[in-house]
Amino acid sequence: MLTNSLDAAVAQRLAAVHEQRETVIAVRGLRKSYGDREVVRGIDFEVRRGEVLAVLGPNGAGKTTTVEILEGFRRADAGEVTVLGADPARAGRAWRERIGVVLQASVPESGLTVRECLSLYAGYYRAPRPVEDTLALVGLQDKADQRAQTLSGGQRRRLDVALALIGDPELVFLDEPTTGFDPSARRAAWDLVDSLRALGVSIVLTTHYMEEAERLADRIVIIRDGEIVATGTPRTLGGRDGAEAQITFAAPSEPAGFAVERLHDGRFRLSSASVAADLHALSGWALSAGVELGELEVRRPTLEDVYLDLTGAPR
Amino acid sequence: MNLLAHEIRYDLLAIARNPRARVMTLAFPLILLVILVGISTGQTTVDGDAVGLKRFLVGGIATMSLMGAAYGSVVATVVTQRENGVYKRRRATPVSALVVVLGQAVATVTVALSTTAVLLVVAQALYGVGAPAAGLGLIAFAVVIGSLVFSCLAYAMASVVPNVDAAQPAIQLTMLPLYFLSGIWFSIDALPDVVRGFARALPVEPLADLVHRGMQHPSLNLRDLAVLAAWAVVGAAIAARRFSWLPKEIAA
Repeated sequence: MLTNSLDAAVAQRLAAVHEQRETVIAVRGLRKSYGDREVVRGIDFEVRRGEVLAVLGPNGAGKTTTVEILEGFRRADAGEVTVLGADPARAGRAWRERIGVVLQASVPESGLTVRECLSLYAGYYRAPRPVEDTLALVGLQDKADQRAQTLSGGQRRRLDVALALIGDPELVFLDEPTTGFDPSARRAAWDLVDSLRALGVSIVLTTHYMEEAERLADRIVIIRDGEIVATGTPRTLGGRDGAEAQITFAAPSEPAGFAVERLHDGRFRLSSASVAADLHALSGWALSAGVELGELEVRRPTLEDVYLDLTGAPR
Repeated sequence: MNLLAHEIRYDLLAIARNPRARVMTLAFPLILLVILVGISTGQTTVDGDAVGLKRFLVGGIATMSLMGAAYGSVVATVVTQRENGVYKRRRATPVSALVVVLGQAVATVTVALSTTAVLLVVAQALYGVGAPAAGLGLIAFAVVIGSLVFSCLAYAMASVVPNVDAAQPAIQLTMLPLYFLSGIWFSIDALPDVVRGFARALPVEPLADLVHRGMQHPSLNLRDLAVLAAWAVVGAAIAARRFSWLPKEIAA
């Protein structure tokens, strides 16, 4: 109960802070079709300044189409899309000065070194971030004079991120930015996103890694079949904060007076809305019966559990 | 203007480090020059005038090199960069399409002028075949005009090539037949009148004619310029209508 109250208070506080910030992305009734197939079916959401929004969904859900409309690569069929105060499909040079984009897939500039790639892109902006600073930001200082095409997959991805940041953008789109990263590179990328957030940069992130969304996102939007099926903070998404905890344990006999379910491995599971009270009662029963509660585990639904439920994916 | 110079600088760097571009625009024409001009003797006729075969082949190979730089390399580069997401990534920056296209065009002209100069120097040094001083200006003019015209045609061709795998076949299918029809390997005086008339309406023969004129008796042929201008307009119109920053799959 205490945990739920704290969660609710934190969520309320975050919501209040969220409401006070300027809107950098506003999407209302967005629709997009390819031929007869409608891939985005009237979605609405907002991103506030300095916020990290994760867009999750299975392949083909419409999240890349949505993000590409926000980036100005595609035109919406219907609805209103405003990004940094402009319609991305009609926005010009000044608007592009303010955004950075990491594409889902691209290769480095042919023939150029890492430093040259960054210098080329720096020349496109009026007030770019210094090349050396950007190299340090993504940890590619040691590779600066190496041909970009010879970088490993993870290093190329870091170069993609560096190219998106060289213009010192206030809004960054990261489309699966850590795909192909090893665990340490992924941690480094997360630290980078944290430092961007600290600078007040707004970020739209798509990812298939639930841990990444949970670690980085202020809010999460889940898209399924072109529609938003849930939106919320990582703690509250899909009613996760209010969901009952699952207490599992092994015991020689079924505890009397508890509505437990017997699992296939012989353990028992108790759904609990009040973990402290139920644990207290369970341990009381174990002490009085002279038995041990083996393999005791208390588990709340993970973000992945919620995601799989919401997207209807098999577990 | 600064941005254009910036773009040209990096485009030239990329071209200079691109093995495919080095082979298509310089190594292959140089090898052909050394072999073909070395073994050729005798004369051919151009517009009825007798011309040394070595001199004719130097002009033809210079034109072929120009085609490699301004057409073959540009088609391959545009398709590869588009399909690999490089253009899409640039589209997300403030740089305009005009700067990207102009940068590549000026870099192409620079490469074509440099390689033509190298070919002429090698031909003079190895075989004593050079252009008359008065013809050098016409050759330089032909290289600049030809580079721009074939860059337009390259952008047009790239816009209909669906993927990287299709780029080389598309380049070879359009370039090779034109070489044989256009006074690159042999004089079109040998062709039947109908075929010759057809060849003269296509873009390579007028360019080759301008280069051959520079190598022999410098004089501008307005028909050549008119045909090249017409092809430039056709290429630019198709390219402007169909150019895409996005891979074909995404643009669809």
